[in-house]
Amino acid sequence: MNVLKDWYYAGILFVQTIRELRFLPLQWERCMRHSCNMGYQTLPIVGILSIFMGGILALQTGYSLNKIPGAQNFIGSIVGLSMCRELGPLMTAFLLTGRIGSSITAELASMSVYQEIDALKTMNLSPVRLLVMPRVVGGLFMMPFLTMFANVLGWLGGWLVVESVDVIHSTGNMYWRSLKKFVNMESIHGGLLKGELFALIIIFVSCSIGLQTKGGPREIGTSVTSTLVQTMIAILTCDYFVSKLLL
Amino acid sequence: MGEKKSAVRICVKQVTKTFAKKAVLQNLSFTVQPGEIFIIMGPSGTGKSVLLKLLSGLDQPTSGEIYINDLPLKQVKKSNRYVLGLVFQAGALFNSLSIFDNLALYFRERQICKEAEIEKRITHVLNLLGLQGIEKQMPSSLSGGMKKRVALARGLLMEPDVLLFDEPTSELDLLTASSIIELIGYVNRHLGITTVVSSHDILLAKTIGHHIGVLQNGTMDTIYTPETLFQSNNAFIKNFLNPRVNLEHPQFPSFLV
Repeated sequence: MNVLKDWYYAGILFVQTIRELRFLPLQWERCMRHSCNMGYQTLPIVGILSIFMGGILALQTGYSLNKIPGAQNFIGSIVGLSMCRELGPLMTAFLLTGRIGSSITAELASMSVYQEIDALKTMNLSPVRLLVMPRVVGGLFMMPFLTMFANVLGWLGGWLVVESVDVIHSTGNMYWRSLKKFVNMESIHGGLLKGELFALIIIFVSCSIGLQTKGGPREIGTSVTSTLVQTMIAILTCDYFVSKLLL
Repeated sequence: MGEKKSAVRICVKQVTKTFAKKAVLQNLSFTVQPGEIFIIMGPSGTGKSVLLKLLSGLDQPTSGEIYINDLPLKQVKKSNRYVLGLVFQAGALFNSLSIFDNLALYFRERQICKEAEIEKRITHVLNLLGLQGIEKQMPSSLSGGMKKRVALARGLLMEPDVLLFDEPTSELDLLTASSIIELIGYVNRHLGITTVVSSHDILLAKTIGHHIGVLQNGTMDTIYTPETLFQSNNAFIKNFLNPRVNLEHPQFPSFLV
């Protein structure tokens, strides 16, 4: 029941955020601050994870295709497509959930518990305009950069493995040629679109749960856990249906 | 700031508020006259804070209506003309902002005046409340009493039609509490803002209250003045105002016996 309530409220927040977008010029500074915060906090970990993700993908496929003559020349296409269609946006979204979603919930839940949200309301200041809308804009602005960054570093990780591991009898040149041949703009755009949808899910779910928190410090912790679980399930569900649509 | 606005009348009519089928407030009716200090008293858990939430529009009554100058509160709030200053029990200052930014937030977001004017107004109110020099500090570095003063400053800066205080003297030592009481009285005398205070502080009711309502079983039977309150023969009020500590025959809750 609580999950349904959270999602219902997330829907309301979505509508309210669209209404508040007319105040975007006034909130521009806040939006930029949230964008920088999201990028700055997430970029290093996205980089590290993506390099290893691309590397592992290249290693596993290279090892599996070892016995089929010439099949290792397709490692580039496998790593390239997997990264930009699935792993890039998905891993970035999971990291964003852990780093940003949880911190948004914790911050808003604490503001809610300590009556700061009520204080805003009594001042006739909209919490959605001040707290939700700038985060949504920041998330939507930052997500494509983070996803693309993850894709490129994933591809680089794959290339490093192809160049340096003995079990793979292919070359870096072949890796990039195969990657270029199969990865087209459509695949990249599909991944970026997924990234934007995931960003919306992360921000709205974390804001919804945060703003609805009542009680004390224990409830703040419970809300953060709930955000992580609900967001990850929602991202995977959304990923399946969007992937099906884009195929 | 500093000029008297025409004070508003608050009229609570037949208000009931229930939580999970349990009525916290029942058919509650009373009027707060323009410019007066109305004290809502009662033991913990009798619905003082709930009533204050209803008066501030943060929550809606289950039935009944609250009127501000004969207009329903909902309607008045929507019109954006009614400004309300609610001073929360713990201050509810924005912890991520400095004191200056806390006080400036209302003006900046509503684009009421320019930065130089904001600074002038904030300096004036901080001086008035004896808070000069704390602008750059963060709320976490302030004591409980200071936080309440800053919250009052924030309320005053909005030039409110009504000032609401939720337990302004709770968790404070007697000296600090009396300075807060003096401050509320001073602000009311000089600005004439209609003020509603929820408290169980007898000193506060006695010294600055014009009228006092004691919540009992979700309602207020009689509205008292400080004089009539202390002469009341109502057993509940007598017991509330003069609680006895009986060490010889203490009355424990049943689960302790």
